[in-house]
Amino acid sequence: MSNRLTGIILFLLGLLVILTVLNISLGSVYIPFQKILATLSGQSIENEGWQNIILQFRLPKAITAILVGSGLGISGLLMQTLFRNPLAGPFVLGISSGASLGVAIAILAGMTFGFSLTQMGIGGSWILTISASLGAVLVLLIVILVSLKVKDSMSLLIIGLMFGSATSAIVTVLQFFSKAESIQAYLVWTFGSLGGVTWQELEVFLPIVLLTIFASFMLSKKLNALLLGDNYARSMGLNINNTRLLIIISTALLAGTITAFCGPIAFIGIAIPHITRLIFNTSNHKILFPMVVLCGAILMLICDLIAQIPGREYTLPINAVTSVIGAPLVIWLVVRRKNFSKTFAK
Amino acid sequence: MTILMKNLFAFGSLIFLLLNLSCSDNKKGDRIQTEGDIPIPAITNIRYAKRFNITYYNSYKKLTVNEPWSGSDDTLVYIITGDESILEAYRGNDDIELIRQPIKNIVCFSTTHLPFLELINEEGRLIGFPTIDYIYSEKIRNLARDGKIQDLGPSNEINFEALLELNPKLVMAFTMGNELSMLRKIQLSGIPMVLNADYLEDHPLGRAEWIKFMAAFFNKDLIADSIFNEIEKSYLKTKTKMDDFDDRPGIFTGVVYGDTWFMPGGKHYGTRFFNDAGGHYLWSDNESENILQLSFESVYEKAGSADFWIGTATYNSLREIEQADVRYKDFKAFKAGNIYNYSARVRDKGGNAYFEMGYARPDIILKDLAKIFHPDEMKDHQFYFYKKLY
Repeated sequence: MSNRLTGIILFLLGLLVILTVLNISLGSVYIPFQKILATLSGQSIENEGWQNIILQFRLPKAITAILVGSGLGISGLLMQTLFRNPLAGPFVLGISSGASLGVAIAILAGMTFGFSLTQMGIGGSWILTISASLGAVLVLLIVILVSLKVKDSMSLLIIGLMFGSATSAIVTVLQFFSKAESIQAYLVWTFGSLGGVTWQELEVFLPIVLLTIFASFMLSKKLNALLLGDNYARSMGLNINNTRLLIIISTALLAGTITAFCGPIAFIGIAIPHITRLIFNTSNHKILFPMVVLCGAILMLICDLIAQIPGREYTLPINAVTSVIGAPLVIWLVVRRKNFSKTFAK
Repeated sequence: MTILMKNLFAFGSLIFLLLNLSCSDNKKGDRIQTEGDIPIPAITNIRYAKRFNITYYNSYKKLTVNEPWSGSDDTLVYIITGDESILEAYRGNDDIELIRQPIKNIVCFSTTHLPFLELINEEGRLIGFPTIDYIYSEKIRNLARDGKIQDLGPSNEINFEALLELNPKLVMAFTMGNELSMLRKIQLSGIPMVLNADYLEDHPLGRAEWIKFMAAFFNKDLIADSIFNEIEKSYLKTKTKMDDFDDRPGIFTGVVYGDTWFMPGGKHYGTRFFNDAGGHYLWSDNESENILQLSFESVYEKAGSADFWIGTATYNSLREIEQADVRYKDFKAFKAGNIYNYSARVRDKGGNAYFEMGYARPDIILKDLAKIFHPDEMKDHQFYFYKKLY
């Protein structure tokens, strides 16, 4: 590792720590910084309301932001490498569309046909989580089946895009027959949400995302080989079909879980791998993987900080912020580095 | 009383008629003045509603609706009459919609219109409605079951051909400004259509006063006037009683969707109820008439120790609330079990008495809330719209 690289990594690590503390410190409600530090270091402060806000609202949200940023970044990286296409993202396989379809059926059809899942004894946020997961898993199963049949990655990409269009169309049809209130509830879900994840949900969310990220780390070497082309990878003794399957499952788990808990978070998945490649000027996955995790977490914390509009009672939808921040950032980096296509090795 | 008043009006109009005969200057050049064209003393004064007005003439009524949807600067003018010569005189004027009486049947587009029909005993005139499943009223559901009311499909996309076939004498619609092309289509088809803007009134009694708007078409203006006076009296009686309380419990409302708690602003129509019922709505200082989009933590900070949580959207038990987000449990109102929702009367397929009748009967809403905040003062009142969640 060169000195420059070590420097950047240390800088980013420091930034991550600072942003995490900043993210927890700033919010609609003003809480003095000493109280924040005291609460985070495990002391109890006299104002129980503040303590609850820090421990029950801000801390789980900051953890969720970190998990979402790194998880989506990794799944975006996996997809871009698998398809050797810089436009690929975590949702190209139709996973977010599948999750949306699940949620749309739960909210829109559920209300229209007069049955309510809450009456079946499942709590509100879990209904969305479960229906989103079911939708994502359904699409995932179809994609895996297709990937066993279709050997060509490009065909798979097109099939994934078609899945996306078809499911979006079904959601549109459902909206057409739904009441205004249910459409609004669905639209609110599509805005994305980091604050809806409580400790209770983190118990499920955190291990799935962490384990999947860790598992995909193991694929680094194979991914490096894949980048050089299927034939080259095969000549190195790589079982392409198995690797492809592993990549698809990891992506689906990450993107599916994140979408299930936080809604379809836009842009981060595509932007993070590019930003990381441009900063580190490499396509080596052994470096890219940990750095994508770092950059993803940092960017998501920044976006969430902006969405909260510190000091005001109001909030912005996180999805609006990720796109508004992400797009100019990528454009700026791409324009600065004119040899962008070289960074993205063929 | 009624007969006496009618006689008085007849007498009054006779005098105006005589006056008009003596001075017949034709001011408006675009149409012929007729002898029915004389303003007469109003049968009813509009006192709370700001979006409509009725001017009474000898043989017709002029009904105006201003700002029929939020942000519109239109004023709609309707001429209601059974007098052919008046209709003839106004024909061809694009700015005026002519409503020919008698109105034998009507299609309404919103459940909030139905209680007005029922209060003036004209619900039998209803022949079409979008998605009958959403109606709460037992009476009207029975009419629908007997095949007297045609279902016109989802309200955001009315089955236009079914409406044409039905050919009602009047369509009472509403718009939030985004269904204008569909409404224009109805207008072009020649079916008389009026826009009801009851949902834009900022005073609860202003919304209830739209009973006079409905009644004008059926010439039940006097009845509507006395019904409204009763509702007003009942509302003000409760309010006066509750105004004396200095000890006002803190109130908040709504739930979190995504990251956002949708909380009505301090000038929102619904929040007036809380203060009039002897409570203190925590966002009363806010100047907005709209729904605020707040962060969960800011609501927790302000309402965490509030006494009552009124209105929990789709949640109808403490368990559902807790399962939706475990942090709701930290609210004092949750710990004390002081959570109420407007779901005491609902139908399986979505009919909800509160949403349907709430505009027409603000006095009952107020009594319900007063009973929640000050139960000792309202012992005689039984909950109607609200129920306590367990």
